[in-house]
Amino acid sequence: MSEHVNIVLQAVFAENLALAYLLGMCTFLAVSKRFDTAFGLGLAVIAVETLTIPINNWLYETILRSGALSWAGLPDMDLSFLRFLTFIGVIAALVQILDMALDRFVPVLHSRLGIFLPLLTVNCAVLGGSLFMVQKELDLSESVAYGFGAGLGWALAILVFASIRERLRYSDVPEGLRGLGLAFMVTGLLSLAFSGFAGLELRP
Amino acid sequence: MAAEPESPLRIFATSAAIAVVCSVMVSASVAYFRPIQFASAAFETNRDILEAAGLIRRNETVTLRTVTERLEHLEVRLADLEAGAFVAGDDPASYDFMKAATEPANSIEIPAQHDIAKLGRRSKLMPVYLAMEGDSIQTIVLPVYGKGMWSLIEGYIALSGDFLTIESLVIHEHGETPGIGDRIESSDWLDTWRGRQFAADGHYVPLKIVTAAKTDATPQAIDAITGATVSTEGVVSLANFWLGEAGYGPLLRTLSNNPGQPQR
Amino acid sequence: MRYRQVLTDPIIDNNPVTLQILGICSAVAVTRSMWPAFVMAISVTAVLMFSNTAVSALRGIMPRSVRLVLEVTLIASAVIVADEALQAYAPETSKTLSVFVGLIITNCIVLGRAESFALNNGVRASFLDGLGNGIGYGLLLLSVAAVRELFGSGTLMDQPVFAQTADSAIFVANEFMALPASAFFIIGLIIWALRSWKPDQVEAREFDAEDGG
Repeated sequence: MSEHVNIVLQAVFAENLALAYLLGMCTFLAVSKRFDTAFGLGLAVIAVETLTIPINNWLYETILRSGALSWAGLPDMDLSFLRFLTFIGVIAALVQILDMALDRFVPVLHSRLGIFLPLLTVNCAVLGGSLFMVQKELDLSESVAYGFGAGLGWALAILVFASIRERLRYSDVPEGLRGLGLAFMVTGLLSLAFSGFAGLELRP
Repeated sequence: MAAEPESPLRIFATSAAIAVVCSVMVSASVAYFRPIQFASAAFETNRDILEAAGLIRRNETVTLRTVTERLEHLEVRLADLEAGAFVAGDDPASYDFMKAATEPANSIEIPAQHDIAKLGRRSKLMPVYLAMEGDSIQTIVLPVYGKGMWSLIEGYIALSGDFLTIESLVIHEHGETPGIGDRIESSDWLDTWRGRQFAADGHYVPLKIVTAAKTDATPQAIDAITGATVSTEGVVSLANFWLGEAGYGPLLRTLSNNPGQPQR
Repeated sequence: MRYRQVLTDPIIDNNPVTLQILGICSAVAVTRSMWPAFVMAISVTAVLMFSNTAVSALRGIMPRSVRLVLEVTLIASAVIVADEALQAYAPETSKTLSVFVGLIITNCIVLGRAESFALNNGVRASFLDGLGNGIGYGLLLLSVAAVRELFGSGTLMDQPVFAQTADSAIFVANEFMALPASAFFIIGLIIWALRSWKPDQVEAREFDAEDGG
């Protein structure tokens, strides 16, 4: 159990997808102008990651991995090269479902998120989470923990960033640094802060 | 009259056509690259083994020819770990011990109290690499692997002819955190492994992690890497596992009792 | 169609990263040193050239409703081929680049150019646009990597430039360069420099200050 907590801690802080690996930046920079939109997107990302990573894990372990198809009598088959297409397919399907669900049950959020919800399909952070899961060789329960942690970390990063950005709206910034340049500087500072959590872990 | 662009037939036909073309492209490239990938992977493996044995320097760039040449200096034998003896084998160098570890017939389950590397099972047979000097073994290179923080860490440990002293540790593959955990690959840290001993007074003493100040205190001390505790522990645990009773221990005992011919 | 302009535009004037805010997703992990950054840039450029050309060639027959899916399929296939090739010919670098080659699929530049340029232009122009954007992206990546490698380990492309601490008292490796944060700051500084040089790239204020305020 403590191992799962550690996985979540690592994914949120030291290996934060946005602040340590710079994933999902395009959406990150575009949506963080308003706190409540960022909040909604953060929730959506947590949902998508927590669901897609375990599903992709199951698919990878059952079908794609080298030797995974032994139950079907094909122990030498290695379909791991199909993981990119498979993962994107799963993510696209899930985002579509989430889109329809939000439209039905929380239409305010749905219209506020607008194009950014379907854009989660090609968000580096979402695909990146699944690819990291493969690299880290997690099992199913660890994948759930990692998915949750990865989504939570990204959401946390975008929320903090949006809050800071709101406060910087009226500040007098050198022209060349205005907008994108400043965004990078601020994110750099955030990244520095989060990397201070490296090595943080729960010891039973 | 051609079907309208949005008609279901058109959608299906176009998608199917593109899907087929992409499938062919992907499958063809995978089929083409697979053998090259195996050769490249084998090259990297052999390179790391040679580096562990001291036949290649750390940052030396080598060609396939150099690797093949220098590989001739090493003798590869298949060892039965539990029996502590060499066994005959067709092609010891290509024995896939990681795969064997997943096959019940070719592997044994590691008792929980010994499984410090968190492997679950290990192969019954492992290939080992011997650098001979005349009739005696000068250096023995042992493949080792175990669980790190995030990933399986694979490497090679080279022991000198007394089967007690570590000559070098080479990390072959890992998936630890870049910038933090991947310091297990740094020359500075790996250099501290040289000369460490995992035995004292004739019996096995496991390696221990210490903080910097006490590195030279005992021959079993390994310096911790700041901020990469779990990765460091992973490497030390896997070393202790493989050098201990549940790993190469019996083999090393046999060999040190018979400093002459390795048992044939 | 001025082909030369299509090619050279994205290098500075319309650089995908610094102006269009695209494709920075991989700019952190792969820029610790120059060689992985270089390999990454080549991979992205290759995928860009393929996807732009393919999308442009097929733009007449792709049905609107599944257009995005088909584009992603094409891009993903190209990336798979690139990934397999990398594993075959540069296995060490492939391990360093790890998941980031796969993430080229979701790299905003690739899909972005396919949607905004290749769908509306001919094959030759799209090919050049892909090449140009790839070069622009590569230049930025290599600049960041050069700084991080030079100050982080004293080497450029693995060739020693500064003597290491053991030999000289002048150069001490800057460990900050190994952290992701350094990439952010360097990119921010590059954007600042770029926009000071080309003021037309400066963003407008989000609001209008009162005169004399």
